[in-house]
Amino acid sequence: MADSCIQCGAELGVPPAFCHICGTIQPFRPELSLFAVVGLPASFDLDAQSLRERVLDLQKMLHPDRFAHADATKRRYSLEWSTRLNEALAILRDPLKRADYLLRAQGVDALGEQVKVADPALLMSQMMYRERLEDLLAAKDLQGLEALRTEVTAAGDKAIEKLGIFLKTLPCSQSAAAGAVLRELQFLDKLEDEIDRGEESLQNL
Amino acid sequence: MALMQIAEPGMTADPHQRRLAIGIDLGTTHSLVASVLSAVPTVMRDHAGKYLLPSVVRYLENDEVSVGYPALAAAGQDPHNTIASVKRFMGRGHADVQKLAGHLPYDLVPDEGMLRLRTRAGEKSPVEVSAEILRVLKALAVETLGAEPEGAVITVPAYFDEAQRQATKDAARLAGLQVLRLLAEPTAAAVAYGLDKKSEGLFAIYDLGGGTFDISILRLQAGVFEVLATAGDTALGGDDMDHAIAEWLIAESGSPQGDPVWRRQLLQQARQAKEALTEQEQVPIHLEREAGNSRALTLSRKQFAELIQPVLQRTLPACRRALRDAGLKVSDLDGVVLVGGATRVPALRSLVAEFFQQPPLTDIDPDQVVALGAAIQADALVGNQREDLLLMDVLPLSLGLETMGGLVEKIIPRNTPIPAAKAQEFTTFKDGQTAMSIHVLQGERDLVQDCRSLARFSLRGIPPMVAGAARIRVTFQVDADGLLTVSAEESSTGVRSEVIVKPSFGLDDAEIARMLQESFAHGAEDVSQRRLAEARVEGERVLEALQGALQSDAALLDATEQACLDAARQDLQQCLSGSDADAIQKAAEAVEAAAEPLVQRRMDSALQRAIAGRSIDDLGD
Amino acid sequence: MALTLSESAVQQVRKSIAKRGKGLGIRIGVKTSGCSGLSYVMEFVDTPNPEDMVFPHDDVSLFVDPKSLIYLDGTQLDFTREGLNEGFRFNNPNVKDSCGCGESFTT
Repeated sequence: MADSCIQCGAELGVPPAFCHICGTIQPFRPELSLFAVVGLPASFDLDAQSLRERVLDLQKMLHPDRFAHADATKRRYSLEWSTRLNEALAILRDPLKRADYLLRAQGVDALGEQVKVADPALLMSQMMYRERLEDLLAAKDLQGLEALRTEVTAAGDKAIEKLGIFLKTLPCSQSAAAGAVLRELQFLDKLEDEIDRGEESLQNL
Repeated sequence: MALMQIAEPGMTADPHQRRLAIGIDLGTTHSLVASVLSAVPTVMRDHAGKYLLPSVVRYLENDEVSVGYPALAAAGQDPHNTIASVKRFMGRGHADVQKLAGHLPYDLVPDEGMLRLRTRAGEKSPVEVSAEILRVLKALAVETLGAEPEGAVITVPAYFDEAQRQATKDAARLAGLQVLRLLAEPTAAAVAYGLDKKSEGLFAIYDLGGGTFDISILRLQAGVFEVLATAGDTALGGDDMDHAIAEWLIAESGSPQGDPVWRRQLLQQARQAKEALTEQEQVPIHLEREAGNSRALTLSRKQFAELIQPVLQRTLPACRRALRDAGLKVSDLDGVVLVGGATRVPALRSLVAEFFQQPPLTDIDPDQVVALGAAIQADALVGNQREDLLLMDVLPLSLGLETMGGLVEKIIPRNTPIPAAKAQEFTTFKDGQTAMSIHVLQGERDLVQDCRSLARFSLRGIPPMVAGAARIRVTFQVDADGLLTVSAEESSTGVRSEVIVKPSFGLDDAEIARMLQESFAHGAEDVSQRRLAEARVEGERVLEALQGALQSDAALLDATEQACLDAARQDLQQCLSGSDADAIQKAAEAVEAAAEPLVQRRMDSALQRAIAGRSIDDLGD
Repeated sequence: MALTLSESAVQQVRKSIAKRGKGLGIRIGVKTSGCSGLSYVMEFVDTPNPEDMVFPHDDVSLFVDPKSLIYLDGTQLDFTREGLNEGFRFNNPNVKDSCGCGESFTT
């Protein structure tokens, strides 16, 4: 059954946050998935740019500033929808968080603390990356850091590509393999962050 | 009738529905107010044509307060009772400002909690001092608009934390302003630029005010102003340049320790020198410690640049951090906007141009740009604009909770777009534990002692369970103003506890209530003052009119009437020298009643003169 | 049928359009609303309506729809200052009665 507007009873579009007939904001629906909140089908294949534009278009209608003069109930709906839209953008625009969200939806917690990383080759490559980072920081080598970042970014892009293949059809049938790639990507993201921070602290010296 | 302004097509308001809204830039050194009039954002000028109100409040004898230029002029003579740069104290505790205290001539009340300044009018909180500035701006707005504004947007440095935002909101409330939104200053500047220039792209807003530094990276696209990252320093500003010059002057004068009055004079000389050096290559400074002991010095632009280099360099780490948080490089930026009077300094402009690899944009007066942007946003929020303007702001500093061992666990990281919410689960660590205390903190550091404590509250009534069995869900909700609500709930039983976070250094509701009451009491005084003034004017007008009538037509009254009128006149004259508005009003009415026969007969005789010599037919026309 | 702008009003309209950056002129009119029946409309004009009457004053044009003109004939639009408060005033000879503040009126 399609959702209907609390004010005029008209059928609501996607997402069901706003009535396009009478313009009334609708009660927040906490059970909706992040994909449903932005009105997109659940999929790993998603264009970050159009997602962003979509969310901002929705924010133009739902942001609390639009309800500065409305009653308390409508202000609350607006705050809840707007908060959830921000969360959807933050999670869905990031391939790591997006993949994690999709895997969790099918009950797989690849990044949880219980998961033990067992792949010795992966562990070895991570240790080597870390050692290189420490050496470059000790040598205050900004150019070397830049080269390392390029390498790490490329490895990350490769991991994202692999995730795209595993998550092509949902639910994912090879969730264990996808989880391993996810952990690799998480490591690479963190490393990139550390490179950034190291670079910044060298520049601020 | 009320004077009209030109509206945008289709946007003329219904009668009595005109929605007036103002934008206020409550600055460290200057404050100003603007509004959108006939579709154009405009700063409001006082009777002297000035739009910048020095953010200086002086407490005078007999409970009077002076704000602005007169207060600024008196700062040198009366430093303890003249509060300048109060914005630096907003939302701060006594301990926070110890670092500044050496520079400042104020008498700080050593006390836990919110900072207070001792003045001849009693102890004053920064919130109360700021409210005095806001009151003057509000009065200017009422006079300019011809009516009370419905609401105000007040700007705050992007980097203001919860406590500082809350203090600003409290000050506005105390000044009788309805706050529509607190808006980050750089965002306001971007709005003023964006709408004016119809530009799109990625912009850095470099905002060095009197006492705060902010850097924000924004994306402007299709009417949406999206803050991508913000960073800064709430204790760095143009005032620090003045202090740098003053330190140099003290060193040159050879008398290291100065009294407050001397220091204040030096700071004023330093500020004048700084301002002069934006135009001139060098400036003479005449140092006079006491009569007969004076020195003439010269400060060149180059020397000045060297003196302030440390201040300027301190802005760069924040610039790098903001760029990194936004995931951008300097070359990605389409423009750099300068905001704040201190950005007029040539050495600063060249540093900014060098760091960002492009000359900064300075088309809009850096003193006005923030207020103009705030006025545009205020106008949109009260519903006067049709264009889709949307400002998406971020949380400036991470929010977290205290965990075991005095550590802070971050719940919402800085630069998260707001509104934002985050829930986190915690558990009990002792068997049978029935209560849990929750300590909310803000800041980037890992230790509780290095972050700002925002609130402590406890969740009681947790059913006794073994350690680790309870599931306590703590939810942080940050609204569009950046203000926080924290709620906690035990999942298995639904025991709930909620606080609207009132930062430790904000005012509690009882204090606000007391101050509001006081301002109402003063308000009542103001009203009776006005009634008295009005009654006097009216009484004098009656006497004057009577005087004129008697001069020409006194003969129209008989002796009794004359005596009666004279008695009433004398009575009114006596009342006018007193201060009882009611008595004046009654006496004036008595005079008018006694003069009634005179007025009647004068009218009759005037009528007779007018119709003399005309026929009845003429009159019938 | 005539509508006039005072010299100060012409200057102010010209200045407002220049600051706003676009606009062919301003529209004045009346609409039914308010406590006394009618109220004034004053807006920038970006796209005129075909039935509009246009009254040019130097480089500034005044647009009025024919229905409003009945209530506005003979009106002089003035721009005045009262202390710090500035704005436009309608001097409309057709007004018989208006509410306290003059924002709405009857003819």
